[in-house]
Amino acid sequence: MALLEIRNIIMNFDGFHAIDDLSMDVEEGEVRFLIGPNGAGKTTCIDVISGLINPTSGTVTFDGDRIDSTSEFDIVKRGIGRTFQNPTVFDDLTVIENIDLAASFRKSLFKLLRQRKGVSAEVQSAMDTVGLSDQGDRKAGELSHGQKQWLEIAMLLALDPRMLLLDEPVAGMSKEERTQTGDLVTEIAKTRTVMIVEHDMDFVRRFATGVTVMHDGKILTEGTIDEVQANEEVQEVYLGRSEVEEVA
Amino acid sequence: MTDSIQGDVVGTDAANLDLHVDPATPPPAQNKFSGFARGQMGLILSAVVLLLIAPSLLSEFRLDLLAKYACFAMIAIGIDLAWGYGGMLVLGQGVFFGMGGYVMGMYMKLAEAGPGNLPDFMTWSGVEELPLIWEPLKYAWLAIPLVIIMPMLFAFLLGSLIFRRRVRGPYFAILSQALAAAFVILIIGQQGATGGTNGLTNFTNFFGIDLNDTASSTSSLYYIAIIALGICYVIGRQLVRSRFGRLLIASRDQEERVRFLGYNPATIKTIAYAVAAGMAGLAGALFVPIVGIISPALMGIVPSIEMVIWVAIGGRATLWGAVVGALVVNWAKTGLSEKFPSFWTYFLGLLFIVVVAYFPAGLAGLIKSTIGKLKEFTPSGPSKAPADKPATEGAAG
Amino acid sequence: MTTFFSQLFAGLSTGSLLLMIALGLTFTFGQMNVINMAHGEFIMAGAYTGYVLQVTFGIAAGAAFWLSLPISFVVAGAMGLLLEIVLIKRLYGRPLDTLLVTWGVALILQQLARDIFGAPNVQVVPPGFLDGAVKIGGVSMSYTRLFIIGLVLLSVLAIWLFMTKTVNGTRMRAVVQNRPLAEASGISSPPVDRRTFFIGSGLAGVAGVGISLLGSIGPTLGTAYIVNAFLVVIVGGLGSIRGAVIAAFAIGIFNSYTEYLTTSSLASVLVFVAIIIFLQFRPQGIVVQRTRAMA
Repeated sequence: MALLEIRNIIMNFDGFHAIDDLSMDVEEGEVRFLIGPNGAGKTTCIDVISGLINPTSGTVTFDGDRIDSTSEFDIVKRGIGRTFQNPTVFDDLTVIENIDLAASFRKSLFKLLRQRKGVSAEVQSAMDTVGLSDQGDRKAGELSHGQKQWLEIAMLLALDPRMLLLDEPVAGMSKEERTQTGDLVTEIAKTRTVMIVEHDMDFVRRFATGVTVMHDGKILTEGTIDEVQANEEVQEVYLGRSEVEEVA
Repeated sequence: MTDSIQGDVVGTDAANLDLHVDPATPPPAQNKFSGFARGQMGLILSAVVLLLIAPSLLSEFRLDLLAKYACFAMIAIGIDLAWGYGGMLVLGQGVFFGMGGYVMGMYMKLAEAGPGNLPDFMTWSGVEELPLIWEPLKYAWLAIPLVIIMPMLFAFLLGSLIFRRRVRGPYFAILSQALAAAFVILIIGQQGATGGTNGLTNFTNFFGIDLNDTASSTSSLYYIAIIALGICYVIGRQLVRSRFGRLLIASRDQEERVRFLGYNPATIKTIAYAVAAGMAGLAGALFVPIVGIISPALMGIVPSIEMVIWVAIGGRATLWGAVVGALVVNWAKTGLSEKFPSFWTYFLGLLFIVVVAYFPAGLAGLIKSTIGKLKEFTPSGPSKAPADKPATEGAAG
Repeated sequence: MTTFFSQLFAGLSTGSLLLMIALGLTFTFGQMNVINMAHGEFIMAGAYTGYVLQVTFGIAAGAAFWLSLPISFVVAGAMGLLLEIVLIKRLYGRPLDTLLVTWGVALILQQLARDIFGAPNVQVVPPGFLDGAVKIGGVSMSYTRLFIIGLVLLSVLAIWLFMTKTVNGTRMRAVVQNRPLAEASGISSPPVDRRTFFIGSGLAGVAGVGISLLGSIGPTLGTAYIVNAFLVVIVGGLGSIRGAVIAAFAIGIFNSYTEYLTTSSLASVLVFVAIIIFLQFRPQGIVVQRTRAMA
């Protein structure tokens, strides 16, 4: 049994099928890239898995439990964490505070009423992993775009999830930052399952193991990057347009 | 506000200390009590001393006013928690203030009437039997906790219903205002049980304090109010500094992200709302013996939104700002509204507009930035500049 | 049975006034995410416009009344326009702050009314042709209330035609539904915003004339209506005419029956409770404009 099993998901927005009968398995420990042209339903897919939206029909099973109508915070408690296309961090809090909140979510309410004392080991390690250790006392709002994305990943790591859903983690990053993020993802993937929505084909080529191509809310094909690239349908709907995508 | 990047702004003496810091002491970034925090402690300590010796400095009349303002400051702390930190614009805090006030007023009325007798106003309006809701308020041990618990329970129920369904922002603000409107109409309508428009008044005794003997009652009530304010402040401060406080800010700014960190923001917000209601209830309960009345006019839409302006003017998301705002606005109101009622209303309207639109950080923000600017001109200023610089760049970029 | 219908009639007439007031609010709220607390004072301004016209031209002049309808629309509309240009425009993206700022404006407008017209209420005498009532099957329906219902229905019809049949109306709807997309497709939103504000505020002014037919008017006239009108917006769903129509009449009629069955003071609480319960099932109101969730 796969860690994440998606069966016959339909996501209907006022008659528009953002996802149309999608089924997919993600095995424990896999790094799965989800690619496809704009509007293919990649982010919607992540939204459904993470509980931001409930699918119109179909099931999502994580580690044997149905999660398709579970609230977002319960899904997090079961071990799925996600990032957003636009890095979503708490601008008014410091980097440490941001990560610390993520690391504290299993604490009881009574413990949350106490003040934070120092920096806990898991916060420090998450900060070290993404390379923000020297930024700990800065407000998140002061970070650069790329740093915010790393901070968000650090918050995810502090949640200690079994599976990470990353929505375009390298969007808006410089080449150097992309490489660092790629290494970071590779590092994370050693111990966790990762699912990444990505537009940047360069990035996909360098770091992907398994790739799922989506188009019009459906899965076009799945396989290794080479297999996918060789697929004529994929070239037709996606790869031919990849340069346009990257500019956008 | 405890972090040192922002914190170091206040207190030139603290900045000087940082300049001559020796290598053995921890770097300023790690020192949680450096700079502003220390300056803040100093300010708070002097404020506490001033408040404690006030009875020997002020006339009975002024002291009575100050006690009243202290009650208002408790409401302001609550509003600041809910709105300043939690982003919930509470436009109906008058309701909770009123609940505390009525519970206390009803208890006092019953205690004064004596066992088996009805409060004076009921006999005037022809009520012959004690209305059921008054029954529990015969007992001090029930009435005293109820002034806080009743508003809290009410806010908790309402808050969980509203926030659970992710009704927020302006929607919540309007619902909280509608609550104030409905509650006031209800109180006015139940003339026999609540005293109607007139409310409850003519109190003579507050737990053994003879309210007619103002010479001694004023200072006793003042101390009670100040202690209660102190308790509210300490509770507020602990909440704000704790992880809960960070979560509250987080829920204000990015509720979605909070949910994806495994927390339910509805719970966080509901708790803050309930605490704010409890503080308003306590304020109402103390307001009754101090001012001698509780009536619908004190808790409707208009007074409720005025409570918010105290916090807006004082500076949202700083507790001392809220307290200062409540004191300053009400002091100005007492001084101006009696002499120039028309002018006061225009002035208040303008304050709403100017402060909210152009100085959203309020007095506290002005004070902080002024001290910050002063510090730039002191010799020790440049030593801090490098630390501040990336901050401004980051914000700009 | 008679009671049933007369309460229904009372509910319809309350609901129609609420609708007229709520329409402006739902546009500005839906389109600009602006909570305009001074909207109630535009009602008041409309009512006083009618009063001024009547004092100027004399009570006998029926023309003053007919004139007051368009003039109050323009007066209140102009006030709304001014407010938008001077203040609200600067506060886009800060809905809660806008709420407080416009409350400050409301305070000032109320005090202005007090200083100009005096604090006591004044009476606008309804024109002669509105005297009396029509009786159908024992249900007495006053001409004033019938007139108000008719006036509102006509206004809503006009607004609906404007929104669906004209270019400017279509632009308005486009901005309500998706501002960035509308802007990207070449609609310049500032003029649309101004137009929306003008029309919405103008409707409040006309509602003020309607209200002045029912009783005396005073500087705080608007406050009594504004809260319920906001509730209509919440229940109806953002920016939706259809939702506002349903919600306004639902609240008006519910209020009317509960008032009859209990007391008027209890009715306002029950309306509030009913709305909280309603929101448990439809937190986004009757008409939900569902778009893809944006994170």
